[in-house]
Amino acid sequence: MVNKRKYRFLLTTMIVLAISILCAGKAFAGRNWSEQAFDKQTGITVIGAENKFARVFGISILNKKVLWQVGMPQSRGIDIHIEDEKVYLVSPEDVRFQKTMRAVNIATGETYWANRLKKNKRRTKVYYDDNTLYFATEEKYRDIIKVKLYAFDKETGKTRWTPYWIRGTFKEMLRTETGDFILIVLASQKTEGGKDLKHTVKSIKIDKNTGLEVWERPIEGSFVSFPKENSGVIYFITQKIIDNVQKMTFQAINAEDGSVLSTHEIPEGEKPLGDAIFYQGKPIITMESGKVFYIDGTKTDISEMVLWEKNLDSLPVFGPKIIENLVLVATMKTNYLISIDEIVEWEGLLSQLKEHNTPATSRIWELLDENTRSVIDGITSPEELNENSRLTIIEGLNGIISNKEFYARESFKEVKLANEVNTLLNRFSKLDENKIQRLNRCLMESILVREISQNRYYIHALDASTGKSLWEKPYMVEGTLELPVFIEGDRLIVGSRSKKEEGEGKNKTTKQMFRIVALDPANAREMWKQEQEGKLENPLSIKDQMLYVMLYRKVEENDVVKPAHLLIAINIGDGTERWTYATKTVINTKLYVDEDSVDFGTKAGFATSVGLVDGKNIYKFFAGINNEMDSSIVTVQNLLGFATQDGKYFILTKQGKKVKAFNLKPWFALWKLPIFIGCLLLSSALSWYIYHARKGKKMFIRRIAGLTAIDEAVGRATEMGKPVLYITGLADVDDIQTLASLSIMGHIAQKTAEYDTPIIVPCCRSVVMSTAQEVVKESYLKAGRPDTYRKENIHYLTDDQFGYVAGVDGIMVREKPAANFYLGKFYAESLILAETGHSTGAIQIAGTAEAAQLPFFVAACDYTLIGEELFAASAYLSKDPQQIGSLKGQDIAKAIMLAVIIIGCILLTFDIDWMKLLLSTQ
Amino acid sequence: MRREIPMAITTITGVIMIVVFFVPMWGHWSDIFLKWFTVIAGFALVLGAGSLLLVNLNKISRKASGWGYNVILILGLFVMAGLGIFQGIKPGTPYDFIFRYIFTPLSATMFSLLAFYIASAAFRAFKAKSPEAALLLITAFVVMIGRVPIGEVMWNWLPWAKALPLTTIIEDWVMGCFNTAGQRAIMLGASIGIISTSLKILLGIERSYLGGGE
Amino acid sequence: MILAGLSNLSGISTLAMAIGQQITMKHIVGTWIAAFLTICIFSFLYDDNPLYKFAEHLFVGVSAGYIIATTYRNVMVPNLYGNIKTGVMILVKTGSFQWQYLSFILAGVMGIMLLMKLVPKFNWIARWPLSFMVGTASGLGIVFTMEALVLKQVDATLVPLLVRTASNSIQWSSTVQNWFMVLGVCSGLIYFYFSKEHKGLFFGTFSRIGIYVLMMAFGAAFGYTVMARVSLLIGRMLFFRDQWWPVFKATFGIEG
Repeated sequence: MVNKRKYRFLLTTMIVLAISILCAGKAFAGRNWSEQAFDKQTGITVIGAENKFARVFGISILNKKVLWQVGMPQSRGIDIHIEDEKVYLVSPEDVRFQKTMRAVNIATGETYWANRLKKNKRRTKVYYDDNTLYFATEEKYRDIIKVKLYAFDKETGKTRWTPYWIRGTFKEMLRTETGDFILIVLASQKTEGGKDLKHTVKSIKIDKNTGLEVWERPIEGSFVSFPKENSGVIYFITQKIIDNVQKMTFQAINAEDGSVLSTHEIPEGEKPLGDAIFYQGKPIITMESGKVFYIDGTKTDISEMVLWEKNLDSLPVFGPKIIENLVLVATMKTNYLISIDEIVEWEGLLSQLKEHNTPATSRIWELLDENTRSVIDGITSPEELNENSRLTIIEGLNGIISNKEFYARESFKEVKLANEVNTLLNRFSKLDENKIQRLNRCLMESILVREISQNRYYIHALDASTGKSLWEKPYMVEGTLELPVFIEGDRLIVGSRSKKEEGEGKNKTTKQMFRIVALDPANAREMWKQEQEGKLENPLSIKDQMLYVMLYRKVEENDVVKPAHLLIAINIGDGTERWTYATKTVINTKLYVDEDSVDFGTKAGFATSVGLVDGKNIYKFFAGINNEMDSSIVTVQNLLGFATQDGKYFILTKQGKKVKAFNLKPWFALWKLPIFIGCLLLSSALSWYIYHARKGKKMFIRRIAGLTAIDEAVGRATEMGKPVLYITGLADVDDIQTLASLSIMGHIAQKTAEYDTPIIVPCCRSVVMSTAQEVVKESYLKAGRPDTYRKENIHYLTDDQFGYVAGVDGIMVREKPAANFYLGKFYAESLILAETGHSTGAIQIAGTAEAAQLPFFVAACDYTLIGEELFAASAYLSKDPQQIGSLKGQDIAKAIMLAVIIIGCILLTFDIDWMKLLLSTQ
Repeated sequence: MRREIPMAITTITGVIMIVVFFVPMWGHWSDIFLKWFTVIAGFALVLGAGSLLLVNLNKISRKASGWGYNVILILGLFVMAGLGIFQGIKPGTPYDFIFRYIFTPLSATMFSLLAFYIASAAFRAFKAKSPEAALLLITAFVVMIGRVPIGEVMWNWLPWAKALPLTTIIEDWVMGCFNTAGQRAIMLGASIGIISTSLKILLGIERSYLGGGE
Repeated sequence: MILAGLSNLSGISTLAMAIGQQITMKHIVGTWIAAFLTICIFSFLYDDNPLYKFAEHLFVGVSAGYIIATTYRNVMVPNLYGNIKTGVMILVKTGSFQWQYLSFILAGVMGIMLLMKLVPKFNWIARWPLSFMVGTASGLGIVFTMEALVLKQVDATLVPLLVRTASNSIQWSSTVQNWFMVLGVCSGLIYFYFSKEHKGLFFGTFSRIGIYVLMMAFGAAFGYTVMARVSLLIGRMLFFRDQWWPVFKATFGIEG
């Protein structure tokens, strides 16, 4: 009776679940919050959850209410635009059953219009005009890819003109100053007769009012920097490889008619870096060599084209950035030769050179000149090091760095080389002077003192109109340049990091230091400097002449080293530190600097607010365990709102009091619907046959080869007077294979009890051992031989995979069981067990659902239960009609699968792919 | 009742696991239950260790042949567990020493025995007796020669090597087609078996894990 | 001899440091033990012998101890003690019941119930936590298997039976491969039919094809694994070359 009730109970649960999804209706929601748009006027925030079946919510912070929600596909990257009480939502991707774009009322969520763009992927942001919204998409049908430019009426959602389309893949789209679009497409064309496709890059101008092509210009090669338009001229740099030589070309095109204004081949060896910036409508381009050009693209002659040129003589790493008429470029320079001030630890260096007792240091010693050697030998204690001797040592070392002989692979066979040395060697087949120096220096660094490696960073300030340096000499940054250089007020802020060593010997620790320096933009004079331990992770926040810095570092608390953050407020004017605030856990949002507080969320699930003036904690709001803040914070009047990772939206007062929290998570994970249907289908098939079997319907089950051999194996063990060995696999009871194995073990143990043959069960898991003891005991009871049950024969060995194998191997060779059973979950040890068992001459029956281990069992055992047969075995052996019924149910489940596969494949052959969609769970 | 209550617990827990899987609001309970599982399994180690001690102490007290080895086993168990529990498992501790110089090499060597066993198993499989065994042998052989450099060289001597490169045969046909198909069939079959067994356990039809009646 | 070797250690210490290992007394002793134990295990290939017996018993003991210690340190302390402590602390500080933490008390209780197996009178209580464990496993068994295996594998098997290129011409090799794949999966599934004898035109033929496909898959997996297993052995040999040999030289003071 109990079973019947349970059976009904399960069915009821499933029905309830089924009803709940129907009720859930439009309850699409996701796991993480992504895009958000906030309307300050109404205090309504529009927020989207990330998932295939995503939802977008409209939440009024002021009224503390969820106003509306709409289903949208793929809200990550959804474009949310609020304008005149209307919210425009454009998904990045089309998903079946969902509208790709819609316009809704911000207060009610009422849909004005909605559109679906079948098979389209949005590739650009959405451009909004007075009455139109534009974006480009890529449409894929079979192997054909089209790029389309759409224009929709904001009022009606209708397309303003037939979308412009062209075959090819999307590269880039830019909008000209007149509002027209330049579409750059990699178009494929079939070449005559041949199978290969020819690719050409095309730049097409499309009129924003008509959607018609104004001009089209094929571009040769690929882009080094994507086109940019300014003052009616489109600039870009392309590259082509001709005879293994890279050829780069600078081009300027008239945006009006597509005519080429100028082309200029960039000299070999020069390489432009990054995108251009514009000053008075003309581009400033930097080169890898450190050259900076200011160019007028309308001129054809090179002499007229270059308005000014400046050589910075080092590798630009950041910029150029233009502020009014100031061009800022940060560059990096690597010195290959060691300079005297680079040596951090003279003592160590000296002792290494003096002793030179390793193959590597002795090689250095060998190459040092006589003079340096004698100087080094002459120094007995570090105190004797003076300026002169230091200079001599440095000169000596530099001599080696320039020495081509220094690097010879044989000398350093046993030395683990720094990665850079290996990279250098692998990358360059030919080593020129510079590279040899670089290599030698790296090598020396990896042998001697590591601190000698240093890149130097410089900041250059140029006059945008003349290209002249504004400062006497470029500003040299201390350490490694860290954050983008920027000007705030009348201070040029430069951040850098460096390592600092503290303590000696075992207590030696390396600290990451972060440094901010404020310079006078006029002359690069240092105004102030701030140094703190930590690592900058997020960009700085600035408000009212204050700089808010968030530094990552490790703090020790109760012997546990934990990552944490430190907040620092620095006055930009004089560099004074107004306050610092240390958190105990990691901040995982950016800093939201509000009127009078800095707000942020931590990984532990706290929303925290710190006063702007005093750095005192205003509140710490606990949103739940590890419930991280997962959206930006919006504030309106005295309220603030944010979403958290587990799908809640919180509205707090600025004092940190909870006003309202909404659970935006749905009651049913709709994206798991296919799993649900699958479970329902399979369970009903199984339940149906179990039910009928119980009713007494006879069902046929075929013979399973491995199982009929069980009797034979146990019989033989009895004849030989040897025990039976039974292994339940490596997994715990959390694996169904183990449970199936335990069930089979019950039947085998009953046989051994009847035959009075001992059964040995060494276990890999304690719980399994405990269960196995019960199972075997029960079997002995059933066989009427409880007296012969030996508990110690079912014992634990170890959880460790190979420790267990070693133990079982030992049992096999010593006890020499005549029959070995390996049923359950196995990993790599399967073969060790099976081969050892084979060598002892036992009959072996194995069974597992691990596809990777089956080959070994098949090769080394007499009988193997493959995959599903393992699970079927207990049913087969039990002869219980319900169990037999479940086997029939399993067959029906397989029939359903076969049907799905065959129908799905046929449909797919005709490009109908909804079956695939039905099966996808993400 | 001694049988009904455990069965009810199984069913209820199982249904809870299924429900929380589909209900995002309660999703974290699945993780918590799995953590409970590890905790309970942790307690069970007491039973395991007890069993191990019992078996070995028994042999020692009986002075069964080779009882000295059982002393080593018990020593190893106590030293390792004791050091780990009372002294910590950080690098540099004696526990770490045993782990690095005793446990790891033993483990790695045991694992490496597979190289010999796979050879002997392969040798045995070479005596193909049935068409099935022959198929296993041929595919294994083809894939094996494809995995060693010399195999590629040998293949290229064959007249049809140009039209049918060895890598195409192995990657596209053997691995990509037949191996995938076979593995998939096993996985699909096995998954039905898992679901069916799970369902039988939840419905209380399969209850052998509970052992005896009262 | 050994002492003489040790004094020479400084010479190769930098070298050893360079390969990432510091040669200390500990390392020397450890490496010798490791080498000895490696030999002990390998000796099993010949036959069971005292060396193997020694290594086997040591291995079982040490690994069981290792499991106990790591379970204690990595499971019991953070999951049981840590969670309950956090829950209680939150309860004391804020007065709110955080069930995610406090519920671990129940886990502890269930653990103790499992230990009741040691008391014959209360033996039956041990079944409760066991039932809980089996319940979680079967619940997850249904949904996870459905998600991770059934749907993914069926989905992956859905392939067009006629592969066409953009220009609508048929790609024969892919088409034939797809046919074989679908046929292979289907006949493999038919092989697993239990309620029908493997006889007759349909079941007989397809189960035969099914077993052939399975055998080919086994063969492929077998062949694919051989080299991986051989490399394990090579790894063990490299231990002797890269770790033990320098230590050997250091121990006996051999230069070079």
